[in-house]
Amino acid sequence: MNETDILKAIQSSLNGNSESFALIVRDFQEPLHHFCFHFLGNIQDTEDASIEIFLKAYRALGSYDSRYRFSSWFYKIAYNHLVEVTRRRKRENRYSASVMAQRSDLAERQTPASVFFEREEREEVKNVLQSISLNHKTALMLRYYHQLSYCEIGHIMKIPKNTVASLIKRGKKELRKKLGREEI
Amino acid sequence: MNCFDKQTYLVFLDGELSRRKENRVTKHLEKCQHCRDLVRKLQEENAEIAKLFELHHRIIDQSKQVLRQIDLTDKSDSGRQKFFPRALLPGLRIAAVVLFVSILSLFIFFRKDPAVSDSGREVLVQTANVDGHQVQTHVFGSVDRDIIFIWFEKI
Repeated sequence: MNETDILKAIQSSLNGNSESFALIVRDFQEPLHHFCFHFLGNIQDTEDASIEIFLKAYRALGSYDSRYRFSSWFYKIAYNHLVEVTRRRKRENRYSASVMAQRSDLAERQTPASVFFEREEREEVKNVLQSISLNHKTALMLRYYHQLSYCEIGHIMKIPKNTVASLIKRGKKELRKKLGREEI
Repeated sequence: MNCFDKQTYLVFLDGELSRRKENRVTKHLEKCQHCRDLVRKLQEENAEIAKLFELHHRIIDQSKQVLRQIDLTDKSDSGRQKFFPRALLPGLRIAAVVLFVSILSLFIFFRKDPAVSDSGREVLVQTANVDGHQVQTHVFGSVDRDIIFIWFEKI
């Protein structure tokens, strides 16, 4: 959906037509799932978080400022929610349990391609991504997977643009080191 | 030849250089093979990073679940919706703060005024424009029972 269609769907939702919100859900559920999974590490928690984030966005639709891209506003809600969930999990010490759960629920959802490519290298990548700093991982993911600008990333993570550039630089360095790759 | 540093090329590839600097970098790359090779390697690294974040499991459609949750939330709010439509909620918070201050002064008003009847007195505290709607805040105070009713009326 382009920004105009999103605005129409938002207006329609605010006028009481909640079905219009379903269009936004379908458009954003895949990138949101992706974003949540790299924070939470397992499908069940990811799907629960996705629903909660969509509900938060729905309730906050009245405060959306159309001068900014909807995706920035939406990712910010998602990021705030995921940081809160991650903090709560650390306090409850649930992180290791949910990483263990990842293996069993992934097995149910694997596509034929993923089964074919499931090698030790992929396992190593998963472990590396889980071990790098959350801020580095978030900045790298938003930039190179979700293709957001430094300005948008800064708005989502509530940091200045220069700090985004710095996080990306340090994140790449940390990734290279953990993957055993040489500096370019 | 004045080559730029690696960080400049990284920011160039991210599309975050100023227009002027981007033009200078582009012009330099047209002449410098060494820097073109460096930029190509950095581009490959960026593509690898994007691949690292790819997921390979199926993502289910959650739109129906989300709508169901929205319907459940709307039903439980429906009694309040009549008086507190969702769009008014942000403005009502501000109105609540103003009202708190107004009620404090009303207590003094009721106590001091001997002309207040035993059945109490209704006062229109404030008319405010909240998200395009005119909202009146009314207070009724019963002096003998010390009961106060507060309600909001959308005009």
